[in-house]
Amino acid sequence: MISICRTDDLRRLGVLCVAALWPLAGLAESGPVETTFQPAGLLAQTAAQIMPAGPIGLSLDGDHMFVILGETPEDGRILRLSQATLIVEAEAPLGLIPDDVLVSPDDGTVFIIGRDAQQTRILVLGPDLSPLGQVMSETGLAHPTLSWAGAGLIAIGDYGTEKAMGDFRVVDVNTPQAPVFLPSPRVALAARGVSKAWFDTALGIVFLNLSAEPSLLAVDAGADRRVAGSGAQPKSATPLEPFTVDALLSNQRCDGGTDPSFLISDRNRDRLMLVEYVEYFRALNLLTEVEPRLRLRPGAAATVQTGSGLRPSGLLASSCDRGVIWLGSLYSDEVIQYALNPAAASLEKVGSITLPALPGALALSADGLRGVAMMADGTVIGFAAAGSAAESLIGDPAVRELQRLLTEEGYPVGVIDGYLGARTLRATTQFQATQGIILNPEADIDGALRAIKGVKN
Amino acid sequence: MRSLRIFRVWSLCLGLTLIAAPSIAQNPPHLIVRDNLVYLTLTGAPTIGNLVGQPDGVQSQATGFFVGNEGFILTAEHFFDPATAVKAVNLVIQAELSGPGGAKWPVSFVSALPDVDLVLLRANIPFGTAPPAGLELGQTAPLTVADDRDFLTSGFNGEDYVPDDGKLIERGNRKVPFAWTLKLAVGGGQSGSPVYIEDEAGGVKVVGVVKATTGANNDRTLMVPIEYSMPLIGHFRIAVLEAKVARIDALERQVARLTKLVGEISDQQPPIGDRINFIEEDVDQIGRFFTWKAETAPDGSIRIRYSKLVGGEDQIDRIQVFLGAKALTLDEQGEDVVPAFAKMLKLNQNGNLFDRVQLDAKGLKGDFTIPGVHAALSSELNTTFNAKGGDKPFANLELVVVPFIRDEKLEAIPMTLAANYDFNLQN
Repeated sequence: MISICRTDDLRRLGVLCVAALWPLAGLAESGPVETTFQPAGLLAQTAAQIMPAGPIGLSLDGDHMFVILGETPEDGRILRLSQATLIVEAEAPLGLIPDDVLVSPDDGTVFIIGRDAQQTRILVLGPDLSPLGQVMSETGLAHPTLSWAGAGLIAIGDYGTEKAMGDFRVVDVNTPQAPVFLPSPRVALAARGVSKAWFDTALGIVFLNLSAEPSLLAVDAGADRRVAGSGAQPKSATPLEPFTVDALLSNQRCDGGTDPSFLISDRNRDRLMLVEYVEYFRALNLLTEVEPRLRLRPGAAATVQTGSGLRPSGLLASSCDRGVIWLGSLYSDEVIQYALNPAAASLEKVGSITLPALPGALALSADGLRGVAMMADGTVIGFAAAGSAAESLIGDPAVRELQRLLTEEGYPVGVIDGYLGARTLRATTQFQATQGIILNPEADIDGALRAIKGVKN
Repeated sequence: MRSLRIFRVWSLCLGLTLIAAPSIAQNPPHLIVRDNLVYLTLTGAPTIGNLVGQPDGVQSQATGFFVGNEGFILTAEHFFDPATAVKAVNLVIQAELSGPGGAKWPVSFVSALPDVDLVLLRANIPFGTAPPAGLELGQTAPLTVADDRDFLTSGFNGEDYVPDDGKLIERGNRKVPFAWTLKLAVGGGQSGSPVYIEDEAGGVKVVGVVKATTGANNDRTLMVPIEYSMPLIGHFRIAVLEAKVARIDALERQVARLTKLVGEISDQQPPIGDRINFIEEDVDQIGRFFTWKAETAPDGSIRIRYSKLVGGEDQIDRIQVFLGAKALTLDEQGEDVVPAFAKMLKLNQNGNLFDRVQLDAKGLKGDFTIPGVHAALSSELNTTFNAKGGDKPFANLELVVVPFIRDEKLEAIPMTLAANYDFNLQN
């Protein structure tokens, strides 16, 4: 028995410091485990509404949702809708072309970044959309995105253009009437163009989703030094679109985890990945990945070009415990709902939602009980939890159980979906070879389940 | 602790006054040096300018030479200037022994003295390969213009090896006050080359480092006296002397006298005092300066070794490791896919925590063994769908080592290494 961790390490690593010394829940020692995991059911449609245009951005907060619209400064506006009824409760002109919207999780203050003829501005609005303050950027930002950093700070990612490099900036909004761009931290790697950036103030780490190449980097904000992440150059001449990333920083996770967690949709390879940044090792660890195989609409496989590269076509939304995850694409009318099975650090496919048109934005509430899909044509559809989970799950429950057991034992089957596919059979074969037992799940699924549980116990 | 500090000062005094052991080499001076010369190259990806993001968008070249026998290389700090100018990232520095085409090793940055244009690097030399012995260090204090002795240098101008010799014409320089002026012409890539003199025993002593050329026809060379590198490499002298000293108590009596003597001299010659202070601070830091390397071994393990410059109580007792693997897969067109993120391997039942297995007698090297890596990778391969397989089924492994001195956790050390195992063998 040894003890080698200090108090701050113990806080970050939970109980590992005394004996187990294992920093990742997904790799914890597995004892006899009954797989009792039941994912939340498929969200069901509750309401629909027609907006005057497709969304630029969408954000949920409490009982409300905020939508930004407009292709010109004159058209630019923000709408506040009831999440339950989708009725417009308030509307305000912006006087700029909006690029992104963010709602403070602390007090519901609304932040919008956008541009008029020359200037990039951040507007600060109250929850009732009343103007509170604004700040202008001294430089123009291309397709800027916002993320909440905590401690009254907002992180901004700048895509960059052919003529100007990308950037990462931090804005102090502790005084909503007078927000201010901070001189630091600055990140040199952001010059490569940033699709979205996050600043984990608790860890002092900036995460960059680069726009010119599909990569996620972790940068020590104090030293301006990359500490983890891939930064490979594309091998082919064909430009690749950046990742779509849903991030939960260390102070935002509600599932007991403390390390930042990233859901990443790579539409170039058709992968959905769950990656954790492990502060203990200052490394990014791939927990699981699946191939979604979204149903693409014929003829819709175009790309969205910007001055400096492609914009991501993937759409992602997640509850804060990853219990409800939505994956979509600008080119598919299908939205796949997943759930994270924390015991196996794996993703379970709950089912698919078919939308009436191609989506422009997806959003989920933090508790995962409500969701919104906004179509490119302006149609907004609300969703809510309904019925029992078991009724809505696709596939065979016994096969799903087999897949969970194999995954927990270290034989990944890809996505857990209740179907006895090639990957599940391959994992079964590997399990048989290692354990020296014969399973025949195609003929006797119950017998196979009993055999695996026998090995586990 | 106080006695150790005094001992170090005393050792330094000896280093400044005693004559080092005679060289055993009998080769001509340039040949002795050439075995310790390296051709240094640097590439990096600029983050500003016209070549942003290109992996080799900025390049630089210099000459360096080995000091000590631990793979440390001394060269000119302005070797990094091209990379600094474009804020380059992903720097790759390599050293080729004895010139282009020689054994090539990756190089890590250790420390720098930008004010006097010196930098210390370290070659990551594989297990089983002995680093060059390192050049002996001389002193500039006894050297005068009137001696009219030969000052020799050799280095790499582009890829060409160029030995030359000249004369000292000024113990200083109007434009660069700390540098000495030699009547000697060198090429651009020769910055960082050693300047050396032949000693009475037929060996060589390094007395300076080439900084730049000057003069109307570039026929003057500026040399940084070797003493200015003491904050970077003074510990090598101390280490040599430590090995020769057997009785600490006798030394301490000498220390009191010599420390007083040095203090008196320092009042009259501030540069000596400055150097001593530098070395004192540097030695304290060096006691906790560890360099790491890792390598796959034929028995399926990974061997990890740390090295330090001075022995002592501060040793790495155990490490915890993150070993990330990226199994290559094939896409639907049958082309290789390199995953963006590595998956952490589970290597033991104790949270990937490993105790040190060996410490050398001098306390300068400690070894760890991570067993079962080949087996863990093979298992990962078997459970990876569409795995490419073959002889090289993995991208480079991502290794992060968290060292512990007793209960104290040190900063994590990231490394990469190739998964050089035979994956056709069964585990």
